[in-house]
Order: sequence, then structure tokens, then C-alpha cells
Amino acid sequence: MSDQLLQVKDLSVSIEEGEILHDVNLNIGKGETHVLMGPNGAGKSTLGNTLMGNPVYHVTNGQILFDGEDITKATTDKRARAGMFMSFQNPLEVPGLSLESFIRNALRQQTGQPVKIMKFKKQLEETMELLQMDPSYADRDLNVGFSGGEKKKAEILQMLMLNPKFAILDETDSGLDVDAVRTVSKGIEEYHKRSDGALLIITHSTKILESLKVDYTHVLVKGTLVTTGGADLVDKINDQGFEKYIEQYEKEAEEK
Amino acid sequence: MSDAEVKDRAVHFDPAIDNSKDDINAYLEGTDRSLYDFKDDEKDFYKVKEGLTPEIVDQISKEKHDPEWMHEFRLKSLDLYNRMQVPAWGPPIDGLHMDQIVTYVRPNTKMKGSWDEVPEEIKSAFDKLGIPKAEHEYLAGVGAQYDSELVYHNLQDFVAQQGVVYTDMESALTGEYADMVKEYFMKLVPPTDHKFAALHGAVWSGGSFVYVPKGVKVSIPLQSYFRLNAKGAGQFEHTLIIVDEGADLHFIEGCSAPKWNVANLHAGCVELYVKKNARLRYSTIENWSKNMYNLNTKRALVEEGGRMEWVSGSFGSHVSYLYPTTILKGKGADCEYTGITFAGKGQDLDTGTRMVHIGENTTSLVTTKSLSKDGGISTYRSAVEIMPSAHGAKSSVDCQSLMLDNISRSDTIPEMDVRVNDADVGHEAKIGRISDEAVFYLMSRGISEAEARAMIVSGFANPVSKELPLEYAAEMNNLIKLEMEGSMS
Amino acid sequence: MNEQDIRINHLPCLTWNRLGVNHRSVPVKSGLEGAAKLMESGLDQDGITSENVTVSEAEAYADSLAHGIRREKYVAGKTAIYMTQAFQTGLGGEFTDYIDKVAGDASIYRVAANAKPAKPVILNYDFGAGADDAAIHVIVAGENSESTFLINYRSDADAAGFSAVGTKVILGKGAKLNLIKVNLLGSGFEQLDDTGAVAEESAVFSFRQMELGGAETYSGCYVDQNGQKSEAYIDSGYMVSEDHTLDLNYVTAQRGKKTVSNFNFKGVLQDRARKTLRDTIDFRNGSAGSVGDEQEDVLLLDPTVVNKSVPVILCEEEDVDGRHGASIGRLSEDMLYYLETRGLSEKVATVMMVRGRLHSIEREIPDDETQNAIDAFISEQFGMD
Repeated sequence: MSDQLLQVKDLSVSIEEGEILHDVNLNIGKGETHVLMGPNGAGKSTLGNTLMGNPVYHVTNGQILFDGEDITKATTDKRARAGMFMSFQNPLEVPGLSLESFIRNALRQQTGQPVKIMKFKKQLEETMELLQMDPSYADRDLNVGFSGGEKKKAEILQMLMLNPKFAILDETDSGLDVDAVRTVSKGIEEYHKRSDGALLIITHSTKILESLKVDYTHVLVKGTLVTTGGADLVDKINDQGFEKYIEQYEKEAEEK
Repeated sequence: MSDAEVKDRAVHFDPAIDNSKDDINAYLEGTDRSLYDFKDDEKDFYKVKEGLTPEIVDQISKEKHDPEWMHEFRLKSLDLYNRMQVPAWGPPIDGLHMDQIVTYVRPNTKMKGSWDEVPEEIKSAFDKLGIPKAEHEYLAGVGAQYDSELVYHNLQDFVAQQGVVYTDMESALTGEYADMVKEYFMKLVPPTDHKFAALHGAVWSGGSFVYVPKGVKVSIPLQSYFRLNAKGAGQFEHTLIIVDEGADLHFIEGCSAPKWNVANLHAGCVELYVKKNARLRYSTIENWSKNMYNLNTKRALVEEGGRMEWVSGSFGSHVSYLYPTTILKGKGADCEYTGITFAGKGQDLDTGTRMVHIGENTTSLVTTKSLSKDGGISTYRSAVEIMPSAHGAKSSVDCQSLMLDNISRSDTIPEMDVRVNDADVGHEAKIGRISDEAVFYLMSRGISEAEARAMIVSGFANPVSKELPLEYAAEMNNLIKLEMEGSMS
Repeated sequence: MNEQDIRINHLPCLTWNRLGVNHRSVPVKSGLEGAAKLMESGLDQDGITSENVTVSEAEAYADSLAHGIRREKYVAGKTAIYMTQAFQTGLGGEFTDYIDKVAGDASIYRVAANAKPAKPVILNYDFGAGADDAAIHVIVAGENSESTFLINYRSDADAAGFSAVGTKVILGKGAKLNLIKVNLLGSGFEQLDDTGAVAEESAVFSFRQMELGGAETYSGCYVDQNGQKSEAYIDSGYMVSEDHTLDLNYVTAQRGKKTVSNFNFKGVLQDRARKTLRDTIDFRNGSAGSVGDEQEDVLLLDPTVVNKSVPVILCEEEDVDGRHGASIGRLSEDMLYYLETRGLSEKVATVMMVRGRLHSIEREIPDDETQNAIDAFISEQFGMD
């Protein structure tokens, strides 16, 4: 494949308690939308966090290339500045730091340029409107006292403002009501449209995928990528569950 | 120290197990009685050598042209000082050699009403601190003290026309408000209070007197700036503020000193009277040099419906003992205390507050933040006392501490003493570190680790900085930034 | 029968003298008359042994098992701290010296490694119409054992007397031990009840105390969490009435990595009762990954009570999470209103709330007889069932 944005080669990942991911291979091209599915505890969030460089997870084998550069050992902020983004499953609360000044700071760090306030404010307002966020949230402390839905919208807001080349959405739709899912997926569509950004969507449900064109679907079972397919795989899993893939995994494990 | 000595020393502390009954009476009768027990058995304490004699005090009194009552007051305080022990419960002050402290240092100038007349070198010190500029821009009045004397004092015309009095303590002693000064001076913090209050009573010099007449609302802040420049010196300024019924004032106090290699001592005293339905906000950014022993006493008495607001930032000093105290005497009196303490290398900062509820339906709200780094020690110490008369009193305390490494120390020592059942007293404290997860979260948006940590610390301090005027908030954030730099690995 | 004063319940870190909480001075009897009747049960189970020894043998034995503990003098930066014991306890060194003098002998209880006796070991001290007594226990919980010790102090309702008890507990690796002490003494009693525990790696020490009786009660517990991943749970329920005094001092010294401490206090004060509670979480350098939490909830029923609370956190380790919270006051109006809309009088509603608080501590006591005795005691205090 040409035009690879993200290449994951033979990636194994451990935490203190043991290995979670085993020999994962994954390629994501520019502007592609990938979906990562799998039962609870399969290691989906681990993969997202490892790609983003969370120091809790240790890469014991393999490589991660982004835009052709080896970032396996790069710190998280460097990855972000290179154009990676992750929408957190549980966004952290930072008392005393407003959402607006946080995004402004992050933009300044990423571009190395002072942010033009008027332009920034206007863009922030418009994006918040798109996401149906109350403008007062801009002045509130980052994620502090936000509802689950507002936190997720704030993540998408950051994504749209920072405009990365590649975004990982870690369970961005979990715990959201129907309207919120629709709003969030509108935000994702906008991101896709605006910058032809690539996506890795970690999800349990398909609601968030309805308005998106999925290019590839991957299934992760017990830390191993067991299968990869097209958009239709999502529907198949919805009908049949993961059982078949778990069995397949166990069979392969036995054979090994 | 041998085990036997440790035991011996420990056993003899705190002989008065329950003198609290006397204290209540003291509060109810007024506040002119001893609030601390200082009759402890002397042989078990190390004694501070006497650096002060009646002759020195006589001389100070004479040079300052004290009225006779003040002369006597000083000598009485000196006598108390020589009889009292240093506190046994706080950070060590062994490094403070009282006999080496030149307690009275007088700069070679008289007080001026215009910056042009202030000697060049002193002026340049204050220029660097931005004082004259600040005065033009956002202050109602400025007093600047250099070592022991006020060198500059000015009040903007429109404030003076409202009848507001803002003058140095020496002028106040003999001026139009002499009787008022005599009535209030060291009544709230009597020299019997503790050893350093006694010292203050004996050698106090400089400071400000403020009187805001009934109903007058001063729209912009008054400020005093204290700078201790002389090597090995003490500063003992006295601040007396009376905000009369229905009046409103914001007073800002700033402190700094250059670093000398001998210890300096600051034993100031602040007495604040908030009358019926009056409001006073007292803000401090303390950035003394890191060889300063800051043993400062601040106390406020709040009458019915009055409101006292403390905003206190402690960044400097080698050792601090600082516990602004509020006596909520009148019905419905209210106090809010917001404080931050940042202890870095070589600093042992013991700070906190005391709230004494006497009146019915009095309320207090305490929010504090403390940070420890590079071996610094920060201690939050407090007491909330609800007297039997304080029916319906409410108090809420929230203190949070952040440890920035594992060579530092952070202690939280609050006390609550509740003597009436229809009170509502709540207390929350939390200690911890900067969460790795939060750092990762910020870094995932492209922010460097150092910056992420600094942002989290600024956010932590935000509830305090947002209470300060913009210029001071900027100064505070700057101080935090300076402290955070160099801690990055 | 002369009396002398000893100093007990030292706050691990001094504060302002005038608050009167740095320690307590209490009178103790120098000679004791008429011992309490002791009934023991549960000692016949497999894995449990007991023996009577001299006081000095017991102390030396406890000290030898606590060998890992460093003898401490000062906490950095603070002027003084009272720690002269090799084996630290809540009441402190002067009490240990005192009880060593007045107690005739001592008992050592051992739980064998891996033993999991089904029933609790129960020690019932019955002071009847009045007696003076002093007792020293050393409890040694072997590695990976699981056991419960319940100590009851009872007398006739109006009886007077004096009780001094020192309990030292050593928990081996992975041991789980519940120690429960229930004070239902008569309204004329002075009791000093001292506990010290050392917890080795992964040991779980659970200390549950009900302080309901007596005129003057002084209790303390010091838990040395020497081993990594050791856990300490201190739950205390108290009710103080008339002009009685209760003075408490609890400390957990968290030294090992990833230790857990949890304090939970539920109290009720009425009449002219006076109570002081000191509870300290002490995170030592090296206790990375540890957590500590202390909560106190005090209900004040009368305007003449005096409640002092000193929840301290000492910390010299970065990677810890410590919290404390206190809530002091009367029943909330909302709650009272809610209960009244269900047809309960204020008095009944109040008793219900008091019971609820104490019950949350009481219900974990694995002995029906003791629970019944507690219920009866509380009913009597309020003059109703």
C-alpha cells in the first residue's frame, strides 16, 4: 500500500501485570476510516493508548511508524505535534484550567506560533455550535463537572480545533444518548471532510458509524488481531457477536 | 539527642491540658487577655538569648517621639518578651539568633509624599518592584516601607476627599486619630499573645494606619509595600485598619527582601477591625527572601453582618509561622480565607488559619492549597472553634496539598472544636501528586511534559490567583512558574 | 490506692497548646483491687493456642517480633514527637510503663500459620458491681491465618471501677486479623484501652471498637504498616452521654509500598459529653502507591456537648493519595422532616438515626450475644426499646 500514514509492525505491549497485546500488525492510510472491535478486555484501549505513547504501557517488541517516522519511543507530546490525536474514553479533569485556554495552549505548542485570538475565538464558537455545546463551557475548568456527554463533545471539539492527521476515538460513543451520538458523529464527519483525516474508531456499537464510510474493520481478541474485513464486517459482528472469533482464536492458540 | 532527652523534652511540653475555658472567656470579654499559655516550665526549653535591653527600647521610643503610654507599652512588652518561650510546636527557629538581630534599622531619610523626593537607591528598589507605576494605574493609595520606616506615603485625592485616612503609624500616634490608635493598638493581638507579639510590642516601627469612615466604599485598593533591605535586620511594622460601619475596603500588602547570608526576621502585626455590615478584603503576596524568619501575626475582629476576606500567598521565607485569625463576634459575621503556600528548597512554611465563631449564624469558608518541592516542607495548620454562643454557625474547610517529589514534606494539622449542637462543620482534605494520567492527557494534545505539569500546578493554584487583582495574579503565576522551572527532570 | 497522672494519646505532630489536643493527662490508680471475671471462648479450636506469661516475658516477646520497626524520635521539620516505644501503641509509652507495673501477668494468643478458625476467640471481662483490673494481651497471627478476636468489657449499669488494657498484635505475612473491642461498662468506670499492631507484607488488620460505656474512656491504636501491601481498617462507633469523657488517638504509619489505611468513625454526643478524636495518617518515605482515607461523622444532640476532632495527614512521599473528611453537627432538618412525614416523632427519628450510625459499626461483629448486648445498652441510654 502506498501513502501509509500509520504502520504498526509486530507490536507487543506489556504492563506490570503481563503482556496485553501480541504481535499486532496494522496499516492505516491517509484519510482512511478504520474500526476496531472486540470483546471487553481484548486490549482495544491498550492499542489506542500505546499508539499515543501512554507511559503505563511498555512496548516489548515491534515498531510504530507515523508518516514514515519511527515514533515507537517518542513522547506523547511529540506524537501529538506530529499530528496524532486521541479522544479519551475517560477524559481527565484538570481543575483551574479552562477548556478554552487549554485548547489555545495546545494549539500554540503544536504550531509554535502565537494564536490569533479573534480568529481562534470565532472558530471555537462555531465548532462548539456545531457540536451543540453551550458556549459557557469554554470558560469552565477542563472536564470538571462535565456530564459524560459533554466530556465526549469536548474531546471532539479539541479534535476539530487541533485538526490532526490521525485520530483515535476510544469508545467516544459509550454512555451517550441517541442525540449526543448523532452530534458527535456529525463532528467526526466534519473532521473527515475538513482535513481528510484518518480515523481509528474503537467502539462497541454501530450507531456512531452510520454516517461514516468505513474502509476497514479489525477484530481484536485477547490481545491478538484475529481478522480484518470491510465495512460489512461491522454488521456481521452485530448480528453474530464475537463468539466465532473467540473460538477461532482459541483454535489457533491451540494449534500454536 | 539521647532517648532520655527526647522523652524528657516531649513529656514537658504542653502542661496546660485544657485551658480552653479561659480562652472562651477571653474572647467573650474582649480580646485583651492572654490567648496562649506561656507559663510553661522554663527549664525544658532552650531560651533565646536576650538581644534586647530596656536601654535599646528606650532609645527607639525616644527617637520615634512616642507618647508616654507607648513608651510604657514598649517596656512592658519587652519584659514579657524576655520571660516568654519560643513556641515548641512549629518549625525550628534555632537559626534565628536574636542577639545578632539589629532590631531597629532606620534608613537615612524622612518620609516623603512624592516619589521624586525619595532617595535614588531606595526609589530604584521600589521602581524595580513596579510600585510607583502601579500607584498611577490601579491603586487608591500607596505606602512603602524600607527597613524600619515608611519612606513614602500617598493617598489619591478622591479617596482622601471621602474622609479615608491612610497614614503611617507614627503620624497616627500623635495626629488627629491618636485616641483611636490608643484605643485599638495591640488590643486584638496583645503582647501576651506569644513571644513574637511581645517582641513586636517592644520594638514595632513603621506600618500603616487606615480608617474608613461609616458607609464609605473605597472603589480601588490601597496598598502597602514592605521591603527589608538591611542585612540581618528585623522588620516590625504595625498595620491597624478600622473599617467602620457599612464601609468597604480592599487592602493589599506586598513583601520582599534581598537575600543576605544571615537570617532576617519579620515580626509584623496586623490588626483589622471590621465593624457592623462593613467589608474588608486583605490580600498578601509574600515573597521574602529565603533566609527570612517570617513570624507574623494577623488578626481580624468582625462585628455583626461584617465580612472579612483574606487572600494569602506565601512563597518566600526560610521559615514562616502565619495563621491569619478571624474572630467572628457579631451575629451573621462572615469570613472567607483563601490561601496558597509553596515551599521549595530550604523552606519550612507553616501556614493556615484560625476561625473563632462567637456570634450566632456566623459563617467561615476556608480554601487552601499547598505545594512542596525540592525538600521543602509545607504545613497546613488550622483551628475552627465554634463557641457555645454561636448557634447556627457554619464552617467549611477544604485544603488540598500537592507533593511534587518524594524528598519534600507536606503535613495537614487541622483542629475542630465544636461546642454547640446546631452548628454545621465540614472539613475536607486531600493530599496527592500530579496524576500521571492527567499529564498524559495534556501531552496527547501536544503539550510538553514540563508545560503540562506547570499547567496542572497553575490550575491547582487558580482558586487563589483568581481572587487577586490581575497584576498580582500575574505576579503569583510568575512565582509559581519560577518555582516549577528547575524541578523538571 | 494512690492516684498518679500519666500522659497519653499524643498527637504525632504537635499543634497549638491552647487547643488542648497535643496529649491528655489522666489519673491512674497505682494499686488495683478486685479483678474482673474473665470468661474465654473459642480457644479450643484447631490452630489457636494461649499461655500465661509474666509481663516482662510478654513485652520482650512482642518487641522481638516487632524487630523490623525502627525506633523513632523526630519527624523532620517538626519540633518534637513523642515516640519512645519500640512497639508503638495508641496511648503511648507512659501507659505501657504503667500497665507493665500494675498488671499481674499477661496472655499470649497464637494463631498458627494458615489456620482459619471458624469461630471468634471471645474474651469477656465482667466487672460485675465494680472492680479494678489490668490486662495485657499479645496476639500473634501466623502467616496467612485468618482469625477474629472479640474483647468485651461489661459491668452492672451503675457500677464504678477501673480498667486498663494493653493489646499488642503482630500480623505475619498475609495474615488477616479482626480485633474487636466493645466497652459496655457502667457509668462510674475509668477505662484505658491501648492497642498497637504491626502488619507485615499483605497482612490485613481490621480494628473495630465500640465505645458506649464508662465515665472516662481513653483509647488508642497505633498500626505500623511495615510490610508492603498491608492494610489497616479502623472502624469506631462511640456514644458519650452525661458529663462523660472520651479521648481517642488512632495512627497508621504507612511505611511499605502500596499500603492501604481506612478510618471510619461514627459518633454521637449528648448531654454534657466531651470527646476528643485524633486520627492520623502518616505516609512515610517509601510508601509509594499507598492510599489513606479517614472519615468522621459526629452527631451532636445537645448544645452543651464539646467535640474536638483533629484529623491529621503527615506525608513525606509523593506517590500517595490521602484524604480526610469530617462532618460535625446535628441531624439535618431535611432528614428529620422526611422521617416525620412517615409519622415518626423527633425523638424516635433521632434514636433511629443514632442507631443507624452505631449499627453500621456494630453489624460487622460476628457474635449475636454481643450485638444483643449493644442494642440493649443503647436502648437503655435512650430509655426506650
